[in-house]
Amino acid sequence: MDNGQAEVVGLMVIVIILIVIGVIYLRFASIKEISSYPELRTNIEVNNLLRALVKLKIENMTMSDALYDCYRDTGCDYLRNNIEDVLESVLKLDEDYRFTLLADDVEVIGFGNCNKGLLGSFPFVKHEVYLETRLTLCRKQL
Amino acid sequence: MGVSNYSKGQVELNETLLVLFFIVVIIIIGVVFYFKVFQEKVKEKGEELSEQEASVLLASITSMGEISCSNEDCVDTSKLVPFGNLARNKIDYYKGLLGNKKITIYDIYPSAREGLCDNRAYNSIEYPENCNHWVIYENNAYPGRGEGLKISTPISLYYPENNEYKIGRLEIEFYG
Repeated sequence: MDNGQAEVVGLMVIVIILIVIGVIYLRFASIKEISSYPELRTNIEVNNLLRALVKLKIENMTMSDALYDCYRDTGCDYLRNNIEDVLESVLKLDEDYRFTLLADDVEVIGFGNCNKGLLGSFPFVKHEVYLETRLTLCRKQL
Repeated sequence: MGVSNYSKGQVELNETLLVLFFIVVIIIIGVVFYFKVFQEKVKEKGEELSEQEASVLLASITSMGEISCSNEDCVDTSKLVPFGNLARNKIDYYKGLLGNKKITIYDIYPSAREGLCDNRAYNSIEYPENCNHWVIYENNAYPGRGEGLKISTPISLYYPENNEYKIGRLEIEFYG
C-alpha cells in the first residue's frame, strides 16, 4: 500500500466514524418530548362536561335538582340512570369514568370503574347546600 | 499513454483532487442532511404551536361575547347562526383572531335530527329540532392539504326558544 492509498483509507475511516457519530446524535436528538396538551385538553374536557351536565335538563328536571334530590335521600336512581346515559353518549368508546357526588365533602354517591385518572370537579350551591360533582376519566382496560 | 507514464507530481495531484472531491461530497451531504433535519424540526414546532393555540382557543372560545350566554358559562345557540354570518362577512378580522381553522358546534345530548343549522334551518318552524350542528367559522388557507387535526370538548348549549340546556361538543379543526 503506497502513501496515497493509505490516505484514502484513513479518510474513509474518518468519514465512517463521523457518520456513526451523526446517526447516534440524531437517534437521541429525535426522541420527542412528551406533550402535555392531551392531558390539558382532557382536563378542560372533564370540567366542561361536568358544568354542562349539571345544567342539563331532562324531562323537565335539571340535573342540579336531581343531584340535590339524591343528596336529600329521595332517590338516586333517576340521577344515576341519566348520568350513565349521558356519559355513554358523550365520552369516547375507549374512555372509562367514575362519577362522584359530594355534599359538604362527604360522598353521597359514586359509580363507574375508573379509579385512577384525570380528575375534574364542579362545585355549586343548591338550596344552601354545598354540592360538588367529580368526574375521573381514564382509558378503558381491555 | 499508460499509467506508468504519469510523473510522481501528477499522481499526487490526482490524489489531492480525489480527497478534495470526497470532502466536497461529504460537506454537501452534511449540509443537505442538516437542512432536512432542521426543516423537520421547524415543521414539528409549527404543529406544536398550532396545537397549543387550538387548545387555548378550546378553553376560551365559549367565553367570546359573540356566542356566550349573558350571565352563565354556556353557549347561546341563538347567537350561532348570526355569528357564522358575521364571521363570513368580516373574515379578515376573525382570521386574525381565530386563524386557520374550522370551528363546529354539535348538539349531542339529547340528540336532534342530523343536519346543518344554517339560516334556512334557523328560520324554520321546526327549529331547534331540525338540525344538530353549526359551522361558526371556517378558514382553510391550504385546501389542498386535506383534513386538519381535530380537537374537541363538551360544552353546555342554551336554547332560549324553550329555555333548555343541552350538551354539545365544540370541535376545532386546525390546518397546519
